[in-house]
Amino acid sequence: MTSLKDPEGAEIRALGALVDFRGRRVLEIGCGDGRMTWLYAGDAKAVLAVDEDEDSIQEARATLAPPLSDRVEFRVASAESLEVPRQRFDIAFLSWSL
Amino acid sequence: MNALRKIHRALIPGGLLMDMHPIPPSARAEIGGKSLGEFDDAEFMKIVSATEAPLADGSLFELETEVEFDWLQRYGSAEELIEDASSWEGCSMPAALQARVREAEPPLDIWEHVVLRRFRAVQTEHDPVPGTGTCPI
Repeated sequence: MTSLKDPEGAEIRALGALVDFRGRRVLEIGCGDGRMTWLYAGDAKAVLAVDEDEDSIQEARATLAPPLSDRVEFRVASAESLEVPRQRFDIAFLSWSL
Repeated sequence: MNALRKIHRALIPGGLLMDMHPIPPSARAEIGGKSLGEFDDAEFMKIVSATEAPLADGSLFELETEVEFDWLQRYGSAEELIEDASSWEGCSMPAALQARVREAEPPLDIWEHVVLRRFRAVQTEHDPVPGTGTCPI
């Protein structure tokens, strides 16, 4: 048995209480293996999810389902090294990565 | 601070920054709802406070609201938990807790207290275009 993270769904309830991802362009910093990304990506218009750990990004890419592959991009990067155009995103999400 | 400036630049005027991370009290191990003890994460909490300071000064983002909740991670074996915990930055497992975890019958639970904060990007003198609206929640 591998560990189960947040089996009670506390994170998605908290996110749902504070933010609406529908139709939004989201920048996620520290996405790891994409565990959090999958909680909201179905609602978002576009997602750029980054993490410094290459193995985690490879894992995230491997679980990227076809319906989301046209709007979710996983990239190896840190917040400091990230190069994105100005004013590209509606929401930035620091998921356990401040 | 450089990272926050980059994030601020990447957001539309009035865009949202959502920040989720653990806060005190310390993470604890439980079995069947009974506490086995707390982790020593004082160093981690210092890192969190230091990293949060630039956000708290309000120069780039303004805190709008926050919600706290308890977060659970469930392990099927003591070894898995101990190995995982050994990789946590700024957090250590006291020997007595490690011994109790090894003796316990799985599943083993780790509980952390977490905060999710919603900040809104504020206009700065470096923004090239005056705000054209805000991101609805």
